Amino acid sequence: MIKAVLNHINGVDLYAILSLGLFMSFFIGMLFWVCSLRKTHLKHMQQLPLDTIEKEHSGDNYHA
Amino acid sequence: MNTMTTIETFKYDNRIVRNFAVATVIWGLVGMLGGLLLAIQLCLPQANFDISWLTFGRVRPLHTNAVIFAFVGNGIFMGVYYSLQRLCKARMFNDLLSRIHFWGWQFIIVCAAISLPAGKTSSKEYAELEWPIDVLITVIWVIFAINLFGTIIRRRERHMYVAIWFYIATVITVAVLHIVNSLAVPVELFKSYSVYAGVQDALVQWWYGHNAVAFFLTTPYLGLMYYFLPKAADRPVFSYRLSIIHFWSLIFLYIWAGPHHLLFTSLPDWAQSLGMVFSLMLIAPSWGGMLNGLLTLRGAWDKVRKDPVLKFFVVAVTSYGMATLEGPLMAIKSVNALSHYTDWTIAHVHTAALGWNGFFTFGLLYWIIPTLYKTPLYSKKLANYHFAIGLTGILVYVVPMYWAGVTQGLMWKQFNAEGFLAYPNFLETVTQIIPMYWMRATGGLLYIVGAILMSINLIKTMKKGELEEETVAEAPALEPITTDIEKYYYPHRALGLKSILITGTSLFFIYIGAYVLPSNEMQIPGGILFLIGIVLLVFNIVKIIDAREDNGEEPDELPSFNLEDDQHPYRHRALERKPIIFTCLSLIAILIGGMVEMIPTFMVKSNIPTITSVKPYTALELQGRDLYIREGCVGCHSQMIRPFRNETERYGTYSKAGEFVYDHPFLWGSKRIGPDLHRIGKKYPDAWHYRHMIDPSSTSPGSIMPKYPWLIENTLDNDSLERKITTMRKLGVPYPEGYEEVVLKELNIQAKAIAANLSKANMTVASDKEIIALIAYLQRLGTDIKGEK
Repeated sequence: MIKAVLNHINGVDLYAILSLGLFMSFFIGMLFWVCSLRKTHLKHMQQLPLDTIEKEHSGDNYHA
Repeated sequence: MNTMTTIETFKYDNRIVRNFAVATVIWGLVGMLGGLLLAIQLCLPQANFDISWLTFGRVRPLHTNAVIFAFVGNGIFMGVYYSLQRLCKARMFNDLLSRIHFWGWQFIIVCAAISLPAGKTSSKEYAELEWPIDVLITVIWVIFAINLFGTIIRRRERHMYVAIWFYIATVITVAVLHIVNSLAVPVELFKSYSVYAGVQDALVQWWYGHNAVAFFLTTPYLGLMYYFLPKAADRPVFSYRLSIIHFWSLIFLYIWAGPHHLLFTSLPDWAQSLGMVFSLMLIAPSWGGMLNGLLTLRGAWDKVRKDPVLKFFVVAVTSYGMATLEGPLMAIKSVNALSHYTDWTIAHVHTAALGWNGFFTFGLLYWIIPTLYKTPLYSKKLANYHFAIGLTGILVYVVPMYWAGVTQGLMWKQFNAEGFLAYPNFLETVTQIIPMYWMRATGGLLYIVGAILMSINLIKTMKKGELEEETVAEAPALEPITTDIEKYYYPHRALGLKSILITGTSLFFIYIGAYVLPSNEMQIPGGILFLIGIVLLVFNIVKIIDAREDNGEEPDELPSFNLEDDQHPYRHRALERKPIIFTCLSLIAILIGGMVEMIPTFMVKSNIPTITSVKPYTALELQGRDLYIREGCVGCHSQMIRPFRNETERYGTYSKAGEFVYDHPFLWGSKRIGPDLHRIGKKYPDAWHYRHMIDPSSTSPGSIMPKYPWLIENTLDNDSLERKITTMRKLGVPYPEGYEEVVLKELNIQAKAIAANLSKANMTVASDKEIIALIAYLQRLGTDIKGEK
């Protein structure tokens, strides 16, 4: 059935190649980008939730 | 430029967080009690009380909407309003918007709580609310978006933490999903018809339904996990790199998997396979995220033993992992053949809802309320009891449901030695699992008891402490950036708007090109447009890369906010510094999957072959169909016979795509608490249906279906009938011109025939009662092609 359906779409090979291309480039691009991030930057980002700048006290006092 | 930075003092708005927290608790209890009522109704049909607005069909959407949009929804807003302010080092953008958001959302919930039991429903799962409420949801959502983006733009922290990415993805995707799926043409104030029909409606609905799970129940909570889990454990997230991969792969892959809700249905086969493959791929990012959460606690497990907050979080994240492994497994066609329509699905969603969303929300509340009220939790012991009771509740709920699902699924499929169905009576497979339903109700009750303990604990905590309405904080202002620095940090700021416009235009060209490509006359212009789009897109990407490379000279003076350690050239971080570009990229990531699924299904005629014998419903049948929608029959009865021998033996020939072309909305259903109804037409005499609707156990002893006595008393409301016909015609249903003028007469003729039929069987009922229309609809179901088997 799948062939019968696909054969009705003109230029269907384009869809296949396009989607594979999009798909692969998405993940390859993401991996490149993630790997190229600097350690110092990652450390800074990781600390953001822990970085309490409240003037008097952080909430953590109440969870000891 | 002065490298000394000005320290700014500002205040976080805690009141709005508290308000959302209170709403979370209240609506959570309401939603869970609704669920408990439903669970009891399934073991004890008397619990429907013969009251229309308390019947299972009407309470079910109330329960699902309450727990998803009221309980989890308010939970999201509570967590987002708390964490966003702190991550951005800025107060929420506008207090008035915050308040409108809060009260608007509660108003929507109240509207839902009134309209759903009243039978005002679109019947599309998790999108049941009728169009005026849909419009209101859109307005309030946009207000939330303005508030969120406003805060992000005014932030004092240059970088956007990954939690904020999840929030942004949530806001835009939910908006897209909600608007596309809710497109309907109003008939009157609380009645509308979906613009899509049959197969297409089903595809759009489950693209929505699946991604509502993804972007309402998952991504915002993952954002909260990435903020509150490190916060509560007091250690940074295990791997920030992993969280980035988690984010992008999750939002990219999730969208494609919607069709796995429609395996073996009349949806084109290729779309089903697409849904299955992408579901399996989803395991990777989901488990990456779960492990990232759990590994954050490495070396802190001693804390987990003592701290109820962390206990709840650990169970929540583990449940996330279990549900996201199970989901893809259920999306494998051969597993789905057994699991679909059974209580297995119910077990699956409750692992996620009770474990992941519920327990995470509880942990969040136990953390946030003491923090806001500047006092330790009233009783840690009580919280630990809540944990134990809640966890027991989940297990007592979920395990029997798996048991029930597998048992019933196998019974449906069982053939005896002679080659006949071993359990030809559907009811037999229901009564078999009633004990499991009792256990489920017990599990649900335990879970609620836990939630009540929490409510008491939180109220006591709030009484003990005092709300810190605003928390004073200080942070350096983000320095205004000189041209040099701007060039350095924001190489494509000038490019920004232009590049977004070019990207948008190129995608538009590609879309339109692909849209007209299949038609013979338009092939060449379509192809040209498509190519132009591709060229533009590539050109734009090259421009962006160029701009990134050409960073200019490093300025002499850099703003101090970024001068920690040895970090500088910030090329790679341009992405998260720019919420708008980031938002566009996320939007593209989520649109691709939807487009690939939908364009062919909508464009290619052969995907839904026409059947000449399929005709539009008569006026009376259409009215009956609307009653079927009003009573929520779709909650328990599917109208989709899958191409399995046991189903064709039991129900009749399997359902074809072409049979649903006039179904606005589709009513395939997702659960068989009762049998499939697609071939119910002409299977029983009218009198059988009449007796069955008054008292189901009179025709089917042991049935758990509610009674519908009001259908015999209520007079059919034909006021909007003409508008219904014209609306349907607008949507492409071929009612002849002028049909609306004779429609009432025709309706009465058909109604009188049914009433005469009934009176022959000694059942006297006026022909203008609702029951007549419902019988007309049921007797029509699936008869268009019933002959061919």
